[in-house]
Amino acid sequence: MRLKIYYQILVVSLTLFMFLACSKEKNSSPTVTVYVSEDQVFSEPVLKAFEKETRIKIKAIYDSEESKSTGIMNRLLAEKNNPQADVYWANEPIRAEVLRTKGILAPYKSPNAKGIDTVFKQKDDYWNGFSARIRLFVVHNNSKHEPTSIFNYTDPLFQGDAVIANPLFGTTAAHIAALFTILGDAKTKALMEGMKKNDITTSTSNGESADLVAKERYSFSLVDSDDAISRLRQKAPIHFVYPDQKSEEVGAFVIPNTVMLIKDAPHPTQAKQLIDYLLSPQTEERLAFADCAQIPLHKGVKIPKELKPIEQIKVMQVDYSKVAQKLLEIQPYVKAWTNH
Amino acid sequence: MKSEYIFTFILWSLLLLIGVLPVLWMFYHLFGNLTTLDISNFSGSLTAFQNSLFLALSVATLTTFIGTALGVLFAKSDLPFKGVFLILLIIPLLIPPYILALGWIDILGVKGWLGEFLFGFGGTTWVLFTVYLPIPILMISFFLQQIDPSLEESARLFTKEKQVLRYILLPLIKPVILLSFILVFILTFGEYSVANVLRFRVFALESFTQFSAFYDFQAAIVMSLPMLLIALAVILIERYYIQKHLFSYQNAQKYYHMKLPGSTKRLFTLLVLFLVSLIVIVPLFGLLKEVHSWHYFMTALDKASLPLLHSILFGLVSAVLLMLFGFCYAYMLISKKYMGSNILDTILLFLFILPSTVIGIALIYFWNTPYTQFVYTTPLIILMGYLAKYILLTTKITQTKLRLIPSSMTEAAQLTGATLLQTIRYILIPLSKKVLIVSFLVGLIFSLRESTLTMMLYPPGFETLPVYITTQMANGEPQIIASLCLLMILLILIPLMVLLLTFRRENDTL
Amino acid sequence: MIRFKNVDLGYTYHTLLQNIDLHIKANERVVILGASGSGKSTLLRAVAGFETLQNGEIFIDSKLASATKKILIPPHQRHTAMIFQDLALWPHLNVADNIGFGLKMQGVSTKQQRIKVKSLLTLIGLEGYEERRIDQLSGGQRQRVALARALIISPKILLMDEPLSNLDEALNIHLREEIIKLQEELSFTLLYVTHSKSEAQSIATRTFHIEERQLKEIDNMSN
Repeated sequence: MRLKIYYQILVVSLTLFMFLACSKEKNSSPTVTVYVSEDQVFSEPVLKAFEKETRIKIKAIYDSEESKSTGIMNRLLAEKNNPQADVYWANEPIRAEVLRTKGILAPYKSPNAKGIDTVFKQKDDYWNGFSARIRLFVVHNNSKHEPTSIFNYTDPLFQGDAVIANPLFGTTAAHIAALFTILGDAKTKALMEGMKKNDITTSTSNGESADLVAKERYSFSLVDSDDAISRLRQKAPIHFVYPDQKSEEVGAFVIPNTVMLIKDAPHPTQAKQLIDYLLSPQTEERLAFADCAQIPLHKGVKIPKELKPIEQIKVMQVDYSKVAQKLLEIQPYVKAWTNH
Repeated sequence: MKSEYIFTFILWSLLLLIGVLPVLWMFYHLFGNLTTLDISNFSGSLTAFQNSLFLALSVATLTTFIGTALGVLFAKSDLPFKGVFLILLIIPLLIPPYILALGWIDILGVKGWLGEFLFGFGGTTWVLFTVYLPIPILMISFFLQQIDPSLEESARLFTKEKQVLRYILLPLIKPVILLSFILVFILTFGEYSVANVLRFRVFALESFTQFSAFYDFQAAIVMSLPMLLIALAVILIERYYIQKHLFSYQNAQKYYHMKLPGSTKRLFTLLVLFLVSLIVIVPLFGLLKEVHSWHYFMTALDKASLPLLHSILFGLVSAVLLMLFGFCYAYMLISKKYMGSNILDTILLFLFILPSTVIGIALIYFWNTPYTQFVYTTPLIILMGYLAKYILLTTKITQTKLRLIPSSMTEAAQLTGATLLQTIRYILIPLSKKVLIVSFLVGLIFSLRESTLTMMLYPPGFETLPVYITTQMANGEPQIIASLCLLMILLILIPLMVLLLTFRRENDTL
Repeated sequence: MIRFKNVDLGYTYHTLLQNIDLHIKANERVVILGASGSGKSTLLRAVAGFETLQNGEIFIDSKLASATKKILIPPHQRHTAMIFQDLALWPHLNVADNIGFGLKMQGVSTKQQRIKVKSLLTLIGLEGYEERRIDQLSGGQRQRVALARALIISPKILLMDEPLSNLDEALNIHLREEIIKLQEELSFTLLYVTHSKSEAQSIATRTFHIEERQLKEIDNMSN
């Protein structure tokens, strides 16, 4: 008798599943498919707002932290011959560059990209930057010393007392590549070797780094600004410092979100509407006041009190396409560095 | 005869569509025009391979040793609360393994000798041991209860229960012990998330790095080929030892429990309680204490209602398909008369050993075409992934049981005029009822907890709960993430408890 | 040797045998006749210590072995051997190891085990079969191995649960004669269950029949 009930449950599940699998939406409303590497907790509300305002249905696939899964990039690359996505919302420009070089993107000049500095855009409009994070130090309030520069990682004052996310992945990888383009190979490699000699620990992600500092396992870490702000808002005993702000120093590395049109997108019209929406000052203001606290790249957009406007921060002057290229070149070196 | 052809055709078609053709197509696509392959990224992989071998051996040995002891205790003694202990011990298998690793980092810290133990071989072995321990426990418990009680009784006339266990019962299930060792070995060899968190360099991580850091599919897939060597070794062991040492005996309806003396019972209960606390309660305590209010749990449930529904649906359907096809492939393997049954083993094992990402890429290349959207843009693609990855597990479990059914059972049916399907339906399936439940359970657990493959394949809007947890972990509220993990645990524990209770009520004990 | 006192046997909600009062003396050959499902195997298992009594007591060699819902003397201490209906020969042990198992458990030296096993094999007509696997033996050979395994520990009581039911008539008759010969030679009490009247006639010194859950002694036309 009991088994009969199980069979019935299974038959119902199978039926529901087939219904779900075969159901095609009766598309009275248009749709757009977006792959999103920006954290779901921050990006989902923006996309829902877009859906509400435009009545265009969003079909989204979200990413995980790079070190935990192979993610959306590989999916986009594998789907190249028959794209499923219309838009890709990346949380940094390096991936955008990788996709551009692999022929996954199509150019689109959005009217809302006008107010954004050209350093944050691809010169042929393959991608546009918006709502940026800044790489900064999260420091425990009890830390005896205050880091001010990336070179503090090699300072004996912080021996064994600092952490950095795995430089093979994500924004840390991009930051290291940026340093290679600004400082040159020799100086950056010296910095990396110095970090090793100074017993700097690597974590799996910026989030983990921020948590380790918040728990006073380490004095400081280089993380993204959204990781720092979110821990601050969770009342962790930390504060943050913008690194390398002196006139002779390199400045803080800025990582804008980027949005791009996928080549041969199934819904190009809706895709362009979404891109315009994401690049708007309104979206930037929303993201600034969200927990991710991302810095608008349009001037004059309202921001919360914890943030500095972009024009008040000394920003590292980089060419993101060169950074992307350098990233691939240095990978064997960085891989060897992480293995030892 | 006609039904046998149809049977073979359907099974081979499925295997071709979910695994063989996609993998071959992927190889052709990536390596078909290959003129050079940059192998500079492969430097140092030998160390990682050695690490993986050593890690897999250690975890498999530890889990088999302790899992066998616990399996015997749970199956053959009157230890109190063993149902509760078993269910608790299964919990680490249900959640993303790196969450356990993070839990241990929370407890042991990163510095000092404890931190040093945790980060590296020691910690990785420990965490994976806690994750995979349920596998030998379940397998050994189950098969111990399948031994014909007259074999045990005839020994009990000569000696005490301990000696019966030592000289009769354990030797009879030696092949099952070895099989569970092999399964844990393979699972450990392919695991990278824990090693990644605990900074222990393993081979599976090399392949993963090629994908994540280099976006180099060719290199990533080449990296996964040495796992073929492991697959070949496993096949040889299975063919030349396990198959030869499984004996035919009757389908048991009753089995004995040893009555432990009072002091021994207390001691074992305390030991098991200590182990359960160490393995389950300690690492999850840090996580679960975040769920200090009902409000967080309800919020998580509300946010994750759709992923939860998807998980339940996909999990159930996948488990049914894994159980049914596992049974069919097992039958093909033991019958040996079907076309291709010689290489079937190899194919199933190869698919199991391949990293999930590689299977994902293969399925995308093969099924993502304008003509196959009805598969690729629907949850069917997820099911295919689960079938490809886990069909080996349910096949092997069922195969071990089917071998124990005398061929005279099916021959007698065929002599009455029963077709193949009738023989399977009216003779083999009823005789294999219990193993089908175990197979369903294993399929359900692995489908429900699967995230890597799902992330590669799920169509927009069809995310599952583990995928949702993974995406929420990036800056999600710790209380919500903890609540989601708790939800994940309950998602599997509730049906598991129902099934185990059903199982127990259908067994008389003597 | 075996005494049943007001014994009720069966399952939780179903009694198979009621109010069994039976005294079996040493060296007797007692046969219990009954249809399938009548409870004869359950009776045997109760003597072996594998079934608890719903009610009553069983004494073995004047010692209380089983009482209501209690097994007071465990099976391995009852000096009892049993031949099961399916023989229960251990498939992972060869013939010698199957037969010698009881001696091994008693701590007898390997050398002594070998000697005794060899003599038992000679007794049952299977010299030279030490290394054979069980699945290499015929039905009759397996029966004899099961018999040797039971007898090697010199039991006081031998229980036999329809041991000859799967054999052809010639072999059946031959083995009956062997069983009687062995019983007389080795002096053990035999409790034998069967549904075959001819087996009962040739083997038993006393015969009982299960009728309406009672055990009734019937005239025995023994050889």
